[in-house]
Amino acid sequence: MAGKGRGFQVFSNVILTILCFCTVMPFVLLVSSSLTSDATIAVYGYSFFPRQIDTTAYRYLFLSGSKILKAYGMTFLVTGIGTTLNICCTMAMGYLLSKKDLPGRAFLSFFIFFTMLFNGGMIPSYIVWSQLIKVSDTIAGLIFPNLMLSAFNVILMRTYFTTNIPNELCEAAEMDSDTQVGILFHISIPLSKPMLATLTLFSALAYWNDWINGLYYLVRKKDLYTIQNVLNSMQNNIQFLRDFSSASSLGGFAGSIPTLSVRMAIAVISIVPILAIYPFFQQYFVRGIVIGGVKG
Amino acid sequence: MKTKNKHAGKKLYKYRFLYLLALPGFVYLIINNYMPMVGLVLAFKNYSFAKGMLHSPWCGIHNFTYLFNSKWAKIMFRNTIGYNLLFLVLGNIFAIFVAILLGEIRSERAKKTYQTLILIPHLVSTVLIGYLVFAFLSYKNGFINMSLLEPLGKEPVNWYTEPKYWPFILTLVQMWRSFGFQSIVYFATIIGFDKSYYEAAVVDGATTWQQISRITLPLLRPTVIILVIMALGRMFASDFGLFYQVPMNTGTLYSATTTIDTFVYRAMMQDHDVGRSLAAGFLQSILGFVVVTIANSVVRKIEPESALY
Amino acid sequence: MKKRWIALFLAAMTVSLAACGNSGGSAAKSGAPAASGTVDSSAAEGGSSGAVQASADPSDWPVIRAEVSAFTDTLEQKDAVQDALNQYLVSINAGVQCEMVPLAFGDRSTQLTLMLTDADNPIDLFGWRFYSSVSDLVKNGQIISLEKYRDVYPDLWKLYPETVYKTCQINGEQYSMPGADSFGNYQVYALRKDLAKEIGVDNLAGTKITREQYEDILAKAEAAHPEMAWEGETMVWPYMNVDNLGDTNALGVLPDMGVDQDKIINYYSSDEFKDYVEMCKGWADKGYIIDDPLNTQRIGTTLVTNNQIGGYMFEAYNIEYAESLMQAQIPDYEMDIFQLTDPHCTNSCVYTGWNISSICKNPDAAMKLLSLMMTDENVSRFFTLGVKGLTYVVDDKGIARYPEGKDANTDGWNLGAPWFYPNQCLSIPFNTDYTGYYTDMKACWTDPNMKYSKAMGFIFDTTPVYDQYTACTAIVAEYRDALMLGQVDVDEYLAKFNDELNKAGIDQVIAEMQKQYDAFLQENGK
Repeated sequence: MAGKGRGFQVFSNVILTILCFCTVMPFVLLVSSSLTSDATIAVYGYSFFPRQIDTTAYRYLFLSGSKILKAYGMTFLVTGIGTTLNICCTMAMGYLLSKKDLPGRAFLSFFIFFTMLFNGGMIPSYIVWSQLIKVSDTIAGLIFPNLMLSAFNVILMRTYFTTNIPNELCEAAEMDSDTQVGILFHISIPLSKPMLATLTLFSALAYWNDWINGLYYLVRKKDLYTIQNVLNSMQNNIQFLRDFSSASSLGGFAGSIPTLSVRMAIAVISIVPILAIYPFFQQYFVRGIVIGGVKG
Repeated sequence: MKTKNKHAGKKLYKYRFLYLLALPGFVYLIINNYMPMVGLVLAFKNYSFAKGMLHSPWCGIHNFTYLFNSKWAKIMFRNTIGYNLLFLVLGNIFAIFVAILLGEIRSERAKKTYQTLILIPHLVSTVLIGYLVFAFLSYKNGFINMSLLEPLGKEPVNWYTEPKYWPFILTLVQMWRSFGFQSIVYFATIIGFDKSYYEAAVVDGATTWQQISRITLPLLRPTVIILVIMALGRMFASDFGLFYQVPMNTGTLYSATTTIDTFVYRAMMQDHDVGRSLAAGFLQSILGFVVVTIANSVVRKIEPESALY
Repeated sequence: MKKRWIALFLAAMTVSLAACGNSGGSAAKSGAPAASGTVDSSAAEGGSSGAVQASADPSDWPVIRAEVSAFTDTLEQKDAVQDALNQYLVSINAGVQCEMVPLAFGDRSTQLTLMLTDADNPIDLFGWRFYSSVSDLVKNGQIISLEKYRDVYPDLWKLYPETVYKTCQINGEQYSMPGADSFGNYQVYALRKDLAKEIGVDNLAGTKITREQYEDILAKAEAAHPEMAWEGETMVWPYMNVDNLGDTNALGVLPDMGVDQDKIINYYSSDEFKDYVEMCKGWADKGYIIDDPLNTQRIGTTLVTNNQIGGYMFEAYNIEYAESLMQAQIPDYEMDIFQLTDPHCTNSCVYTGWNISSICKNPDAAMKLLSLMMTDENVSRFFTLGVKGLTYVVDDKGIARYPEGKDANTDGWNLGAPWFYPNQCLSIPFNTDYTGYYTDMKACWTDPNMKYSKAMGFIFDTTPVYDQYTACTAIVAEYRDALMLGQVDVDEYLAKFNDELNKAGIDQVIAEMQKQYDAFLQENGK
């Protein structure tokens, strides 16, 4: 690790700085275009520094756009509930499977692993959730389908428990007549913070960025749309106009599509919370992934 | 035998509450993952909306024969596998490179900043990435045409009509959004290595390069193998958002952007052809399963420690 | 050990599959018999008349779900409009209630497809415009025959010229009710009045001009304003002069708008198409077409308002209509209208039709609502305009307007799409000075000068050549737009396009088409 070469230090720093610049640059473009009027973009194109700061888009969102604010609230709500459920299930399953002497352990592991390889596809999945479980047109439609449990996360969790919780600790607790559930809450969870933080971030991102569930399950209750659904719906409407622009009668609709800067502004507010929260998780991230990623 | 059963029964009793706690998760997997698998029979049916899933007439393997007679079969398999291989090779090499660089940085603050920043693209949705890419590539207003090519006196490029650019664009976008996460996975592994190897190497006068090639890379091997097996399992899957939303579902680009997933979606939503759409999805699942099973058994032979199951 | 857990696993999977199979079965059963019952009912249940008997208590009335057009994801006034509609339905003792389901155009294709699989929560009434076609809907089993209602609601079959109904029939059975329109249009070019004056062509406004005159206008306009383009929506197929037989893929077409034509040709390999795309290429090269047309919203109105183009082409049934359309859509500029072609009616002049889904549980009630949408002025206006005083107001000339302080974004209802519904002619003109908007439209139905294609009502059944057909449409989707917008080299790209089409079997498609067309002509005694 500790190479002496000063040259290598410089080299590493330069390369990483360039890479960081590349990752951040597009977001600067996004913010900049949300602060530029459409007329300016039409003339000068997208640019990194707004020629003239124009906050119309944001005023439009926060003054008249109660719909946008509501969608924003929905995103928070769904992410909160969904992530909580996800983490509880993942933890319970991961912990169960981490018990090496568990009857049926191999079978249960494969039962979980198999779901990573096979799926029934869009329509069957839709039929199960909408007709058997009836989540359509409720907030449950945003929370349950597809996102509530990921086999991958369960495997990460299991691996973390098996490799990071010393067996002796559990045995000692058993001696103290602590129950298995008690051990989970008193020993395993407190010792698994990095992994839990990592999985919380994974799950929260999946919920925050999802637009499929809203599109499929909220057909008759679009006032429950999340911010990603709003963004996606606008994009779809624009593509529709592009594909069917031949229909002259559609011309009247152009006024219903929010302007470019408004769309960019919605995009900006959709990522702000993530960027704000993420550094707090980030400190656990490296430790969480490390051991989880490698098989134990 | 009897004692063994008794033993297992005792274990079952011991863990009874843990089973109970995990039960909702298993029920969820049955509902969300296993029950829709019944729908795979639709791949062998001529789906009728009036008759529904169970009562639609069977049509044998006609859905599959059609798939292979169309030019799309070739294109979508070529694209799906091609892009995945490209992403796999480039992605891992680049991620290991970045991880090693990260490991060499001495300043803790700089290290933390780099880690934080390179992960940001991993956090945003594909819808949003579609917006970002459009800001760069739009013909009329895009950053590349307006602010790069125009000042250089070059003709603006019609990015959204030329399929030939898209393998590069998609690879670039994919690298941009995923290299941070992959690098962190490798980096996390690297900092877990036993420091004494490196200390001994320094005592022996090894250069930085020698430390990397003789210690770090060999130690990374198991992680690489696991990540590659997992990637192979997804060899026939593709990120729908990357191939559908980023190119904005543009007709002229289909030859470069059609993967199994986008084909399945379009067959469904544009042609309302559930059977064929599912035939493609069915193949995707089967092939992924076969590939991962083979890869895993090969690994188990060569290096049993690294096998996934 | 290992074998044992695999066996166990398989067993568990079988159990879960069986469980799902059962419940899936019950779901499908609850919907399927209702649907199949109605499909066969015309023959099987002679007892059911198809009419709706309204019970005394309106809360017992069946609720029919009907789609509503939207261009935003939510319509804020949906509940208010729906309540008003249902109150009205009670007041006329209709025996049916309605739930309105707004679907944004961009999401509609996905959402409608999913809803049509959901037998427990069916969508009952929907239109096929921008979604599918009658023949595809029938082939996929998504809609049911309306033939048995011919006796119950005979007036519905007398609204339009008889030939129009044929466009929504399959094998002589009515599956969909055509949406009112002029059923016959010609191409017009709209050019900004100030620019027309500047280049000295304003004297031609309101008249029919030749193609030479038209190209002359474009050339003069470009010379005066090279920074602008002159075409927003070339995809309207101006000057193509073919009947595409109701399929925008146009794999086989009838020349000369199908008037007295018996022979179907492959248009894409014809010289006319080559000429046409070369013309487009020429226009693109000269700068008549906007930059990056394949990825720009080529909405003429927006482009004119943004000063990107000075004029564009569209379809209209008369000059006044075209002018009124411009007034409503481009308030910033006055536009001059030039007529480019003669009026014709083909299958594709029937823009929409409304139908009952195959999963509908109460088709009789759905048909009742559909008949009201087609014949009852009040019901129709709840869909096209919403609630008077709330989502629209009527001025003293009898024109609908946005209420004070509202616009397309804030109105809470989509007033811009009366053409989406079964009978827009029951509505009143919206945001225009053209009071004769709908009366003139209806007048077209009896216009003796209107030329009808011989193929009116001919719908190509793609089943026998389905594989080839689907393969061809995919190729059309990939190549045609770029060609027709002059974005690629014609010789090379057109050859490749035709090559691909030949490989995909376009000849078989056209041969089958001809066979069916011959049978159609014979059947109709033409």
